[in-house]
Amino acid sequence: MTYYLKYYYRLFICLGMLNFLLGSGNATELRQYEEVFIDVPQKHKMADSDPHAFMGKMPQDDIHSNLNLGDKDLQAQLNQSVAPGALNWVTPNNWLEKKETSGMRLASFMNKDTAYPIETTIVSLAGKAGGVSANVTRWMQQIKLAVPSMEELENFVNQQEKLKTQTGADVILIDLTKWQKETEAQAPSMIAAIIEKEDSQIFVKMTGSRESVIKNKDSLRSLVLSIQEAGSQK
Amino acid sequence: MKFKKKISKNRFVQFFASIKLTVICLFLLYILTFWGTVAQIQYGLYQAQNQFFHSLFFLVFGFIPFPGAQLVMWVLFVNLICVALTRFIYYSWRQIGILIIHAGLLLFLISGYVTLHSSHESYLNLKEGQASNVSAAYHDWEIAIWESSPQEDPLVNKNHVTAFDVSGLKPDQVIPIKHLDLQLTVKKFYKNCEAYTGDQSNKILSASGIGRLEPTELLKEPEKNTPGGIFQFNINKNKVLDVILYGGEAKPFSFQGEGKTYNVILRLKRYPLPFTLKLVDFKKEEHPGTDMARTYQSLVEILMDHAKREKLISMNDPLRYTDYTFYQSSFSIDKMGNESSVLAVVKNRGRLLPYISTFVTFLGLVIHFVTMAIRSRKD
Repeated sequence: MTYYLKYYYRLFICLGMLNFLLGSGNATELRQYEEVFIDVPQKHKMADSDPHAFMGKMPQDDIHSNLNLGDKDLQAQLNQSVAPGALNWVTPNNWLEKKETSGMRLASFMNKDTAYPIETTIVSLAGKAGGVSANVTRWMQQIKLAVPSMEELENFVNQQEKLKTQTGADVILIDLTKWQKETEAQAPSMIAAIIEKEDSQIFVKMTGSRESVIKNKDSLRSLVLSIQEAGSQK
Repeated sequence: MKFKKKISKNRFVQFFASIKLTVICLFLLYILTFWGTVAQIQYGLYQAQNQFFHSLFFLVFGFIPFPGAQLVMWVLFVNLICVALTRFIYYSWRQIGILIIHAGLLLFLISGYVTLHSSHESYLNLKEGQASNVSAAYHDWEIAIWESSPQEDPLVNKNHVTAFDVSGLKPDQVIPIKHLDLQLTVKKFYKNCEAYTGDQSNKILSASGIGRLEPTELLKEPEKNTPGGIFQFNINKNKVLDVILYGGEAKPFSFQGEGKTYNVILRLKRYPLPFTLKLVDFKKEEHPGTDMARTYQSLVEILMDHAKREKLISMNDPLRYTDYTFYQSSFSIDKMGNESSVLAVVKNRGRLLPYISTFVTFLGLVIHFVTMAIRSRKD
């Protein structure tokens, strides 16, 4: 039995090596094909306050009937101006922006100084997304902080820094390092900002060790204040 | 008889007609099936499939070669043919059932080979009203290049694309694209990487403002890997451009050369379809009182050679056309409220072979049992 096993095993290996040698080669084959894609005009769910919301009720007279969606430039302008979630920002000098390919994150950043590593993300959610206290509670649990009573939590939220972005949106900067001792320099920590918009909230969350997030707080503040909707003016 | 004697004397045929070889092959298939199934936990489905079932051999502990399922089935295929030639060469009516069973088993192996080498799975994601004649691979990538051409209708994009797979790209590899007067040189290529913005002083161009790529570890789920690389484009041996291409970019990189505008993008591999498929309407039904989808279906229009027909694709009723099958896979709703239907597209030239093999094997079994029954009655 051992003889047969050795014999057949050698055969298998020889056949495999032979096929490997015959099959090797790395020619990159070019393929050509015709690609056709037919798109549709963008459909939007616009808020009533949106100046373009009236488009659906536009009279089809001589003046307005020329504003058809076959005009590529006009279509592009309309798309850009009414697309919710299209944001611009200025990346702080000491940070690098990482391109996000999928998921809810609009962007993520890391700092260039690897001695104090942090990660910052920007997420935009429609609606009120749970409220400030609910989000603060969730974030505290994420970094393993004991969640205080509702009264203490509300006092903490009220004491947090309030800002306004360049376009006048309200910002609250939640600094969770206040709940940690100075001796806990390497403990996971977080500073986050919530930007309130009419129909959405933008969350900018910076995580890292306590000393790292404190060191990068000014950079986070400058990023948050620079956030504005694409196409809006300063 | 003479043929049987002659062929039985052939040492190659003698070796491969051995029943011991059949037993060893079946034993190895048993080992590989069990091992490959358990290995999926550690390596993921895709890598385990490639290593244990699609390969000819693989290395255990890094240096011990072990036969893969493809090699074992090749040997089993040759074994079955040699057994049929040497043992059943009488071709008497008594053995016709067993011969047919062997033919069915051979057909099974052939169908496995055809499926492995000529089938592929992809998907098609369409919003209502959109149409496309290509589907996208789940985790194979390509670099696609096309020249810009004037489009009569801004909503209709027609491009003649030249593409090549990126799976085997190596640094310093040169890829000439003669019909476009282009030459591409791979400077760096990563199968999984992250893209960062940064200083542009390195003069490497990018469609999305990417400054550098950082290679990262390959993940066991291949759909989570995003490739990227730095490529040098040489336009008609004059202009040279260094470009970063990253799989996460939505827009192509455009550049001018010799009076033409070229567009290049690193994207999921595209498979041309035999027709253009348009999503007319997508319907979803939810379980009462919940947001959970109960069923969903897509009404599609098949556009081919100026002819159109509609077909409703639902979860248990796919669209079949020659070697292609379109299944209702999933759906999505974007932030704008636009519904997209995701259709799984399977192309399999050998899709009928398993059915034929099963029928032939079943027929052989029936004939064999009937023959045995008649013989035992006579005895």
